[in-house]
Amino acid sequence: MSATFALLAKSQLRFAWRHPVGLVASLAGVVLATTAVVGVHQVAQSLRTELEDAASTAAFGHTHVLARAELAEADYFDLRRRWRRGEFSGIEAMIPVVDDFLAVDGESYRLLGFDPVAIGTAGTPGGVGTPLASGAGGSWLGSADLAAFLTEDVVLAGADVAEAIAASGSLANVRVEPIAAATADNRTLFADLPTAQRLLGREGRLDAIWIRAVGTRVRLLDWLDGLLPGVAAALPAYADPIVDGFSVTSRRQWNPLQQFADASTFNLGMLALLSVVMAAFLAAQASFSNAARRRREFEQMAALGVPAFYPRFLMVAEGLLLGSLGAAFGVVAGVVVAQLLLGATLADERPVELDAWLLGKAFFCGVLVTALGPLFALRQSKMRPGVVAVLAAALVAAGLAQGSLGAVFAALLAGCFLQIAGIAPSVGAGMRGVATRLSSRLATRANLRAATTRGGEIKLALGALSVAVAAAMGMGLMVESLRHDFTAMLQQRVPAGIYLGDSEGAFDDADVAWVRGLAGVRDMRRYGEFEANLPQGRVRVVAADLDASETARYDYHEALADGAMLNEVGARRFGLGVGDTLTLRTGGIVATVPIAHVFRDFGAPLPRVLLPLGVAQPFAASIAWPRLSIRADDDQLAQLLATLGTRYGSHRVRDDRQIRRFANAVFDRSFQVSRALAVVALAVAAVGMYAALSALLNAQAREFRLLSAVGFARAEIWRQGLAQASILGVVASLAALPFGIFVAWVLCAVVNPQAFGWSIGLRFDASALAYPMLLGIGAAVLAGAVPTYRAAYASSADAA
Amino acid sequence: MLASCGDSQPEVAGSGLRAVLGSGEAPAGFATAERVVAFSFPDDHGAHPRFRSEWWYLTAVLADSAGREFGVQFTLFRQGVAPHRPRASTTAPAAWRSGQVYMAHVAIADVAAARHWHEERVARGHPALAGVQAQPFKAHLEGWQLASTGSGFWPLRLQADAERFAFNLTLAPTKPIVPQGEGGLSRKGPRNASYYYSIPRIDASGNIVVDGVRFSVNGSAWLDREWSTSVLAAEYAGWDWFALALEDGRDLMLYQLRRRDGAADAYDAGTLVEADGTFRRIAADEFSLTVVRRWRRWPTAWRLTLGEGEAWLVRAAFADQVMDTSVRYWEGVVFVENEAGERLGKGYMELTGY
Repeated sequence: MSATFALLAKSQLRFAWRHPVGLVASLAGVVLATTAVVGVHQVAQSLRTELEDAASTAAFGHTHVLARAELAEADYFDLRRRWRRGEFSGIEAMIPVVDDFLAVDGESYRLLGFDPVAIGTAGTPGGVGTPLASGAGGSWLGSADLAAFLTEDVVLAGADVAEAIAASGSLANVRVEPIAAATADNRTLFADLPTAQRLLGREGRLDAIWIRAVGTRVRLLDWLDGLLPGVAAALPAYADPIVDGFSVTSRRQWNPLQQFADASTFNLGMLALLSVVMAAFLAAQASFSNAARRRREFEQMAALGVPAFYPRFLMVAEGLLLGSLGAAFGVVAGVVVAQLLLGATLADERPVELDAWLLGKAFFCGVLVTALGPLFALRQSKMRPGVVAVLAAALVAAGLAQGSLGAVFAALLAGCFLQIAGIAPSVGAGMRGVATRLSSRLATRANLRAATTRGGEIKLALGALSVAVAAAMGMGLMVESLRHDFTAMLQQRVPAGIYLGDSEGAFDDADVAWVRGLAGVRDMRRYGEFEANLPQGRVRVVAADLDASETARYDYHEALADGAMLNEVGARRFGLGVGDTLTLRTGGIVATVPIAHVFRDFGAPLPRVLLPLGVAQPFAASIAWPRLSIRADDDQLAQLLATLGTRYGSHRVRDDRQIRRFANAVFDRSFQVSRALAVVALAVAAVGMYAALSALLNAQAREFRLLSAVGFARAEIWRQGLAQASILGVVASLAALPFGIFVAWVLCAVVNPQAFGWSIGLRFDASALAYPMLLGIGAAVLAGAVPTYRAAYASSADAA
Repeated sequence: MLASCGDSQPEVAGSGLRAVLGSGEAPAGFATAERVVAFSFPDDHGAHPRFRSEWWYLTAVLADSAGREFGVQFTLFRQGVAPHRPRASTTAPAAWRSGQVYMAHVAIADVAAARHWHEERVARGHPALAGVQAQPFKAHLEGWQLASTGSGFWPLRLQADAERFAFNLTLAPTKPIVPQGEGGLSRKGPRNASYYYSIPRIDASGNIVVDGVRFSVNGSAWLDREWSTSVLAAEYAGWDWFALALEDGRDLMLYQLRRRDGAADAYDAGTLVEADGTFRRIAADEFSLTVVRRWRRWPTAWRLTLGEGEAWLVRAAFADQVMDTSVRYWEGVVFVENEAGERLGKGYMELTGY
């Protein structure tokens, strides 16, 4: 038997040497998959860390926020007693928190007061460590030690803020120290609970109780999240604990940035998964093709008594080797890609970390995709395509009905199977019937018949090409629809005229008077901003004169004097709508305002509230005035821009046209990635098509020899082959049309609202549909060019 | 005994308590144990915030009417995060500004089932969370407490409800307070010492609940009190400590300090309390401890010789009585036996720094 095995191994090596395309395709697929897994893992982790640092609300790994209208320390102690008696299972820590905004030197800072000892000793993924911990990743107390933090009036802040506040001496009897942990959040001050209570003048009062819920399900979600970053965000969350007398809000809901980070990492995770699936497709397609080419050889071996598992074993072993090799390349490439992306997007200097978990994950993915392909390729599937299609259709329907992010992505995946098993073959069959009726030319009918029949034989490659075209269509339609919304958003956000922004300070009354007095100024509006807490979460509040011209930008069309406008993100997240009330609290001031209108806030990741100046008046101490918009006479515009630029710096003065140009440029740059991805998907599909056509044409060698023998010229045979390949491209593209539109609808109407909180109105754009179709046909022609050329010239040589 | 080991040892499991327990160096501002000071009760039952570390440590070996044996442990650690100072240094609400962090460990050992349960809680010193008062005596941390039931110190009640076990015991003394070391000053090195007293052989009775099953139990308990600022120097890896109630009515406390270089230590010490309550100090050269058996890294059986004539086997009632808490150590029931395997006593053993 060992001699037989050695013979087989030699045969395997000889085949690999003569037909390297399959090997190269598999290797490329594994490198792609591993690169994606490693790159996405790194970028997702950095993104999440960055966003969590930016909000500081992931601190200490708390999972839920408990709140009530009036919360006293006594309530907290009572709740702790109940917890310690075992009334609430699955809670690991309970932390009393004062969380409000404090005006210091005209700036509004979030002041987070908490009891560090209550955090406990357990760390949780996503937390910044406990202040009691020491060493790497632990204590962030910086120059202030725990003793000082617990016994003196110490406030921690980012280095710049700490220095500025300490220098101004605005916080009486308080020592301001720089925080040690790397944090991007320069707007949050940390203090021991009693220090914060004193600064806010609310001794004995709390704003919230943070809890950390634990349990098997939480641990499972954490594990899954490590496997595929962000995936936990798409799965049904574990049930929130029920605590009588308190509203319980999960951290994801309380902290919108957390949700944004989760959604972003989820989408990146899906990208990695897509890459793995594409790689598996490549490997499987290469194996299918190899198996098809060597079928006769394997049959002869079986007739000679060689066990059936020998060839399968050899191909799987080859796959394992390729998988390991490809994974090694992919890890290196993934690190490079991650560093490039991090450098480009987050200006992140933190080193890329390769832990054993990530390496194991990368190698597992690499080996999995190359080992599974041959296993499936050498099995005769007993599953009928019709059954697969029906099952896939049922999954699509169930996923859409369930509606969660994960379910919708599962529906999209099932849609791919439906496309491969059902729609693409059906379109091919339909074309065959139509061709028979429509065309009288023998060659055309023969080509159509051959192509669509082959379409059945290489249905995996055809279906994959169709899926790639559909994905490109869906992405293109979504981007074009988003562009339309983006334009509307610019209209809303950037009022016509001159825009004056001051992130470094604020426009006071003297500025307003001075601007108003300038020649050419017809009208001027000042925008105030502050942050506030609702019982349901945190919001950004904009205070402005909401007359009819201003509210029209938000599709309201009448002046608003005593209500609030809430954006779509906030309404969706907090479950609020017109007629409900907002209970805003900041700097110790509480105001209740009815919601008069919910407006679309294109692309906004955070809840936002617009308040008329009169309603915002009680919060005056917390309001900063960072923006002015000015309507000016056209003939005075240039002079006005120059005058304002001289006083405030030209970088703070822009007219709306400049802003729109800039925003559109950013938009286009951002979506270059999407287009590049679509092209990559098509390229991968074309490689698969190439491998499939090579195998098929090899099997049809006898047919080509016959054509050559009866006098067909080599060029003619090649032309016929190319025509058939282009027909395959047309079949794939036509079949892609409904699925592409479906993908676009899912992205606009389901995924985007679920992931980011705002919807996109789907708009049809002919170029977004036509461009991928042309690319699909081109890819098929390119994929078919070499194999058909080889087949044509080999057949004529053989015939000669 | 434990917190002092935590001061310098790697068994503090990287979880954050290291920062609370601090290093082995005596920080400035805290008082240190340097000279003999007569204990003053009931004040010395309470907290000594001028010193950095302190603990109230009670162990009991109990049995139900059928003879089923259990061990019970309650330990409340106090750690001052900053030297005690007048309130004027802060304007914030005073209740939160105790400057103290408390950690409590409770455990039950079910000897027959060879099962050991334990739990830990940590809280800040605050009247509603954790603290100790001398009169009426109460040492508590969020529902777990050792407290006088009346106006006097005795009787005491020990109560704790944990996730899988609970105990509620009434405690009454049978022997007087025993100052350890030199009149209560227990030296553990040339520059390290603590104030330390014990109350051995306390009558204990009440109920325990293990995995939902209630047992009425009675037996004998041991209370240790110790406070210091720098108990153990850096050259020590840990220590092995024994509190044994012998069936002849004597009680024995012994500890040996384990030096990192493996050498014997001159500060090893003990106290033998006679049945009538009289006691004598035991010097390092009067006893020896030899490991007979180990379970994993823990020495769970020892040959103990005392003076010329007495030799015992001190062995764990069962091996796994590890306190897998922020500070990892072994603390559990031991039996004292003679060469023939007859039981001569029982008590508790503590192993740290392994």
